[in-house]
Amino acid sequence: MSKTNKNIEIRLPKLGESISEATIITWLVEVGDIVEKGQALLEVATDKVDSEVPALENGKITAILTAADEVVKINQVLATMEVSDEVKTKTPKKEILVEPKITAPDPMPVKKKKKEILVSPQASGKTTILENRNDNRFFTPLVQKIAIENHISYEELARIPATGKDGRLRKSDIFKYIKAGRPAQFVQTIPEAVEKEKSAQGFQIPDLKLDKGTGKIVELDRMGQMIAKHMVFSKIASPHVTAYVEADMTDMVNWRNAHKEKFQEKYGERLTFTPLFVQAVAQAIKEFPMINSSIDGNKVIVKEDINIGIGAALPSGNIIVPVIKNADKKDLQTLAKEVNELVDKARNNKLNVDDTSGGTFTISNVGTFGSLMGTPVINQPEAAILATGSIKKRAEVMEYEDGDKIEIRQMMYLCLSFDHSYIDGFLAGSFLKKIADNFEDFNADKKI
Amino acid sequence: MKIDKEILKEAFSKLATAKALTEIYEEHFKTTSKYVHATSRGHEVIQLAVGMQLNPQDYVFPYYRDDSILLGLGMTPKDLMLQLHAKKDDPFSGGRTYYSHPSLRDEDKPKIPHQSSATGMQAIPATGTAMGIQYKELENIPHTENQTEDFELPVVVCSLGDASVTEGEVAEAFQMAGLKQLPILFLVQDNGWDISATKDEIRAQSAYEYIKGFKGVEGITIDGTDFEKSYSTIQKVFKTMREERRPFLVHADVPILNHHTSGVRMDFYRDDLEEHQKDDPYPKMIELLKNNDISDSEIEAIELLAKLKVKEQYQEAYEAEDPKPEDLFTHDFAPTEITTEKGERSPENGEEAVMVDCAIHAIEEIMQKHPESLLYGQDVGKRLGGVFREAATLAQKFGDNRVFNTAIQEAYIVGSTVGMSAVGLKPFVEVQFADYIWPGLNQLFTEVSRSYYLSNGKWPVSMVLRVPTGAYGSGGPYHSGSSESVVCNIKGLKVVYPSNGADLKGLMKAAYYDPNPVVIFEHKGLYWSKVPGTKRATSIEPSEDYVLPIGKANIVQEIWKQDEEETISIITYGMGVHWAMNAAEELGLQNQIEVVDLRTLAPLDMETILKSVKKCGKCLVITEEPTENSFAGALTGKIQEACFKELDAPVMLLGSENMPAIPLNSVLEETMIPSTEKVKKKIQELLEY
Repeated sequence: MSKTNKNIEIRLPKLGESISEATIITWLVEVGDIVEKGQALLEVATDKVDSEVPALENGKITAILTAADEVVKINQVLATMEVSDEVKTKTPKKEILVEPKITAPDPMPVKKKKKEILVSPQASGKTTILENRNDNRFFTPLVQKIAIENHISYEELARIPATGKDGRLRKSDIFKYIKAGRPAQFVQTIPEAVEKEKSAQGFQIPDLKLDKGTGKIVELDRMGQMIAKHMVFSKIASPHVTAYVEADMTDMVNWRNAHKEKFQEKYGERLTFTPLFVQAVAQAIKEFPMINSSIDGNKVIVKEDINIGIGAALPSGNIIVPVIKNADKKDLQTLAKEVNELVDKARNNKLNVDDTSGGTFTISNVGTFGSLMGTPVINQPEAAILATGSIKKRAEVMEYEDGDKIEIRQMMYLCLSFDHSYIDGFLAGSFLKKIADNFEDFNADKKI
Repeated sequence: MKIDKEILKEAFSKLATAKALTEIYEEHFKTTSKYVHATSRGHEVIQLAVGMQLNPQDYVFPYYRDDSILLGLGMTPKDLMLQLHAKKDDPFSGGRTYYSHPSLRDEDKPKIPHQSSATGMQAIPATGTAMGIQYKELENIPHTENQTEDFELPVVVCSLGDASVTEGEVAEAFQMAGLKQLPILFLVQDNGWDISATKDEIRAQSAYEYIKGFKGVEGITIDGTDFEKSYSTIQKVFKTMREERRPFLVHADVPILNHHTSGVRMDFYRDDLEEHQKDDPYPKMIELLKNNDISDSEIEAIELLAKLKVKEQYQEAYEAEDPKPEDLFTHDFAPTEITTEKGERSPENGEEAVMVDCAIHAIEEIMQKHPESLLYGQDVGKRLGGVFREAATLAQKFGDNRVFNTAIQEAYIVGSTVGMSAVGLKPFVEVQFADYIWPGLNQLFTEVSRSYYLSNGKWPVSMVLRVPTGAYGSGGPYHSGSSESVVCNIKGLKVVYPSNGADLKGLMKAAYYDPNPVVIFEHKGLYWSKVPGTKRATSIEPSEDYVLPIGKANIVQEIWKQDEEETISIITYGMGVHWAMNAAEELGLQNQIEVVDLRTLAPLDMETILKSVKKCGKCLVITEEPTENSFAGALTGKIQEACFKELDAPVMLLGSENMPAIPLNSVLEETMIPSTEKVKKKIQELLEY
């Protein structure tokens, strides 16, 4: 083995969007060890997730530059290795287990035995434990008794490989597991698994048994309960990020003020800002169709129709979201008519299922409450939601060819909450800016 | 015939007492009717004529209207009224049963075995008593310890109301009394009523006319209100019976002057009250006294004294102590001496014996040792020795008195043991098939099983009832059935169900020495190990002194506690043991399956059962019976309750399909009952659970 081989650095890989550093838990290899591509070299912990760093090539570890408990930055060099095609023959390959992740001090000797159980009776590694999460959560009195005697939690019971009928954990399963040293005692489920489980079984809010205090009891009505569930679900299902822009509404406000009476005369409809907003948003969506979508597992469904939901209050005080279908294909008069119809129906409790379903994007006008801005919660399964703040006159620096001037302008904040799991900041920002541009570029000479 | 004056006065005193009892019960109706009672008003004279002429060595079976018989025997009004109020010191039952339902075993008085409230049902136990007395005389077993030449041989009196004579079981008793010429008097009191039904509605003839059809029983009919006639007739009858040892029936016409019972009032339905009043024996008795030169004042004094005594004793009885809650739990079973396994179960030079031979040899060994043991049933006698040859050679060895055939009378076979046991004998009896136990159940339930408890410990019934049972291959719907659930449901019986010859022999001995009634189910399919897969039923025959206590289960296949393996405890008995053992063997799972052979179904060895189930964590109960509402089904519930926290699977139950009968066709039979294959499937299901 005298041929010269390339020496490479082993760096801490990017572990996630918001992760900049990690703590080394333990090194799994030593200097001089022959490693295979993909083999885990060390385990690291972050505040979000525990992970291992795999070898990127076959070769031999030549130096380890960091030690356990050390905090390391993303992309920091952790070790070096000499790349070679040499296949390990001397030391038997250390069985690398991606799991378990240790997140708590381990009072139990878990080393070797742990590996045994994971290898048998099913495949080894992370997947074993995760796939063995028992869907059958029925535990017989005997199993519960054994669990209590051995201080095994229900969480842990659920991780024990079960071989009974319909995936039931049997007496022999739990005793075999105990004999093997309880390899899954400190395993933490990784987020993917939680997500997967969530999509399979619905989301779960941990009950922290907080003292809620005492006071007058107000029962949520059925719709209130549904809204509450929907809101909580949305916050768990989608990582929310909110972007803000400011729009100069002066032209639009002036135009509306000038035309609203005539509009009423001509079409018999009130002219509110809502149809104007709907129109501007629909046009922006046409340019950024990805905003008009839903995520389904690993797929994104990009909708063809642009159906804009608008928040409206019911007599009960609950907010409902009636939907303007194909908003991009309708003129202002039609939009105004439909908006007014839907709002009236909402006030009179006459909305039907069709009126409130099929939305692809939602506008929430928080300005009507006097709010300057807001961080709306996405109306699932949509990808984003726009909140419009109150329109307020402000002194603005206006840029003219002949120099800047301070003018009194009608200003409004636009706030876009979007599902950051698949909509990135660039797309969301561009889309939001487009809406603002549509407002500002409003054709003040527009005829009705 | 002239009756001694003193006897007349005594009789009148007792008659006045009986009348005073009726009157004071009516006077305190609100109090006394708490517990139902009937009195002898109208029947007193014939009852006194019988009661006053019985000796301590005699047996009497009074029924519920016979309080004057009890007075005749020498019982005090207080004795009777302690039972009226169901008091702790009620001399008959300790407050367990109704007024005038006596059981008495006093040295100085005639003996009264337990009296049930089921009318007519005492006929068979009473006849059984007479049969026992005859047996002892034929075997030269003395009636008392120092029986002298001039000892008056005992007689049995069975008292019946005429309406109860219409019952079928009474006919069985008459038949046997006449056939065997037993020293029994059937005293039939005929007041013309069957509660609210008249004699014209319920019978074709009176008992006097009926008994003419039973050859060998002499019938006599008399006016039961005429003391002189009654007393002298009974005197003559008893004398003849003591000398000639033959049965009589005395039919006595009497009025009924009180209510049927405290709960069924005469004024409600009767239109013949005045007519009956004319036959009141009371004024007739006074007339008789007067005719015998007894003065009015003496008569009045007797009357007054009787009333005073009754009044005084009524209060005493009423104020007496009630039983305590803990008194409920005494005298369910008399203690037995057989509590540990003794003798050699597998003697070194012992010979293999099929199960049926183990039973025969056990009985033979007992009969050689104990002259008070005998065996009877259908076809068990000399010619056949049992339809399964389960009594073969016994009659040849012990003679026709000790081993004999009976008629097709399951009620008599079962119920006569009450009387046999009362006179100190220990009968083995058998019904031919479990399918035919039903006519015997009435006696088993109303008489045999409750005697010890309701007599407050005075009259245990020591008997062994052999019941060939189970399916043995195309026996069809009336020769293949099982009935242990029904029998186990009768409290007061011990029920054993061995699965092999050694157990059968040991248990047969224990059953014999047990002072309580024992039903022993013997599986016809195991008798000769003829049914495939039942080799284990054949065993080395235990030694002569081998006994196996009742109530001890046996772990026939024991396993260690194994945490890391799925293990099952199979709880079963009889044929189930063989299915379980075969299934475990064929599956190669002997190390994971424990098999518990109950051997005794009542009382259950719960300790062994629960220990095994807790060790194994899973449990399968196997029975040959249909599962619904079965003994085995109840057992699964008991196990579940006691082992809930130790169970890793529901307790499972395997038994026959829940169809009304085991059909004749072999395909249908196989489908109906469990098998090794079915047990294997169930084991797999439970292991995999």
